[in-house]
Amino acid sequence: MIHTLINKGFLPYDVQMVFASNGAEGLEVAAREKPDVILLDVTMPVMDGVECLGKLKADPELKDIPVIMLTAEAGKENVLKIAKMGVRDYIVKPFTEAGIIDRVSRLIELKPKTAAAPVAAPSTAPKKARVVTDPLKILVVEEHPAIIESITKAVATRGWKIVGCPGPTEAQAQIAATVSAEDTPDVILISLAYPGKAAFKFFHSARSHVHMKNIPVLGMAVKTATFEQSEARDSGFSGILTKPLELGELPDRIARAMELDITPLFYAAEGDCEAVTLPQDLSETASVDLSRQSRTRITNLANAGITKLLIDLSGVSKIDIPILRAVASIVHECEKLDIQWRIVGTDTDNLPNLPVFIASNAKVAALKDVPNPFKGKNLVDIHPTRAAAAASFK
Amino acid sequence: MTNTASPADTLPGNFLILEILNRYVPEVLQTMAGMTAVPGPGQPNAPQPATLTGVTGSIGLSGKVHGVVYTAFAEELAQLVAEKILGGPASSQDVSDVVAELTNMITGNLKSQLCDRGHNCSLSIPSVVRGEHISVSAKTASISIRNDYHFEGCPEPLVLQIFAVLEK
Repeated sequence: MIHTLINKGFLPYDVQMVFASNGAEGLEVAAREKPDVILLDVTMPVMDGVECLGKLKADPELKDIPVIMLTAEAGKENVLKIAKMGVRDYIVKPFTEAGIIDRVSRLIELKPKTAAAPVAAPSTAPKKARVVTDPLKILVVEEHPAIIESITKAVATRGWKIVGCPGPTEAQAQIAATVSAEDTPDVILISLAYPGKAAFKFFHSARSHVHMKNIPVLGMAVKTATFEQSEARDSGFSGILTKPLELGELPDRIARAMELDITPLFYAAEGDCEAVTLPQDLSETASVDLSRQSRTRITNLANAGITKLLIDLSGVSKIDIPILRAVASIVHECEKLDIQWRIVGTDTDNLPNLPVFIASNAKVAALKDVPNPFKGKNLVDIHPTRAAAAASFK
Repeated sequence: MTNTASPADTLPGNFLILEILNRYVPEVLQTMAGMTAVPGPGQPNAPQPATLTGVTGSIGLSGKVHGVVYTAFAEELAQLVAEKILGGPASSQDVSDVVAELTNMITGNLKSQLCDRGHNCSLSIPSVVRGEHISVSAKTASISIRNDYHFEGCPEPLVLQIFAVLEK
C-alpha cells in the first residue's frame, strides 16, 4: 500500500522510483541505485527500518544519502532515537501524498514532468534566487495600476523589483524579449480576470518558453471567482492570491511560491550562539514556512557545532498563533537535537506562561500539527536581554 | 506551580485507550481514505470472547503494555477503503495490505500516546486474517475494549477490539 501511495504521489514529477519490500532488500537496492533520497518505513519484515538505518549510516558509500523515516509512532522517545541516528526528516503516519512531496522537495528539487519541452538553456545560465534576501524580479500582469503600485510598495522592504504590465499582450511582448535566463522574472503574478481566458493563454505560452517553464506563476482573483481559481490550480499555477490582496502577507506568499529559504530574515549569529528573532507581525504564511525550514536550519547548526540558540521575542508584546507556532516548532527541533535554547523578552508583563499557553491552545485548528515541546514544564524563564540569556547557558 | 497534565492522563487504562482510539481511528481513516469514521459509544469493559467478521488486521503489543489490537473491516467496507486509498481497483491482496497498514497506523499512534504516558511497549508486524465470526479472547487481559466506527452509506462499521494489560 505504501509503495502504491508514494508512487502515485510522485507521478507528476520527473523522478525515478525504486522500491524494496524489507530492510535487507532496501540495502541491496540502495547500494546498487545510489538514490538521491531514501524513504524508509519502520515497520517491515526481515529487517525493520531502524536496523536498516543503522546499516545505511555505517556504510561509507551510503551514509550521506538523506533518509526520511516513515513511522506510525510519533512518541518523543522514538523520534529522538531516529533523529540521533541521523535521519534528515521523519513523517508520521497517517500521511498525505502532498505531505510526502513537501518533505522530499525540501531535500531535492522536484521538477514537474513536461511533454516535449524544448532543450534547456546551457548550464552556464546563472541560478535563480533561492534565498529570501536575494534580489528578485517580479512580473505583475494587472490592469489596475493602483494594484501594481500597492504590490510594489509591499515588496519594497525586501528589495524586490516589480515590472508591471497592464495585460497579457504586453506581458507576452516581455516574454518574447527574453533572450537569456538573466532577463527572466523570478515569479509572475497575473490577474485571472482578463476576458477570453487570456491569463491562461499567457500561462501556457510562458510554460512553453525555454527560460520561463519553471517560473512560479501566481493567479490573482476575487474570492468569488472560484471557477477561475479552480482552473488555475488544475493548469499548474503555483498558487492563488485572493483580492483584495493581503499586502502584509504578500512577500511571504511570494517567498513560499518560490520556495525561498526565509530563515535568513530571522536567524543570525550572536557570539558563540545563534539567535532567531521573531517579529510581532509574523504572518501566518511566514510562521508555517519558518517552522518548517527551522528544522533544516537547526540541523545545520548542530552539524556546525553550534549548541546554543536564543529565541528573541523582544519585539513581541502579544503571543498570537503564528508566533506560538514558530516558538513551539523551534524549541521542538532544539529538543530533538539537544540544542540548548533560551527565550529573550522585554515585555514580560504581557508575555504569557508559554507551557500553559500552548497547552490551552492545543485544540486550535491552526496548531493541530504543532508539537508541544513544553510538556512536563510548568514555566519557562524569559530573560530580559540576549546577554543575560547567553550567560545562563551551561 | 501550574498542573499541565491533560484530563486523559488521569483516566483508568481502559478509558484512556478508548479515548486515544476515538481520536486516532477517525484521523487515520480521514487522512488516508478521506472517510469520516464516527465513533460509537464504546465498550470499555467488553465481554470475552469477542467475535470479529471480515478482513481483520492484528498487531501485538509487548512491554509495559502487552496485548493485541484487532481492526475488523467487513469485506465490503475493506474493499471500499482500499479502493479509496489506492485510487482504483483493489485486489484481495491489496485489501489485505491496506488493512494491515491501517492497523499499523492506528496501533502506532496508540503506542505513541501510551509511551508518552510511561507505558512503554513495542509493536509486532501486522497480520491479517479473513473470515466470518472469528472468535478471539485473551485469558490474562485485564482490559477488554471494543468500539464500532461508522461510515455514512456503509451498513457495517469498522470494529476495534483490544485486549491488554497495562503496567506502570
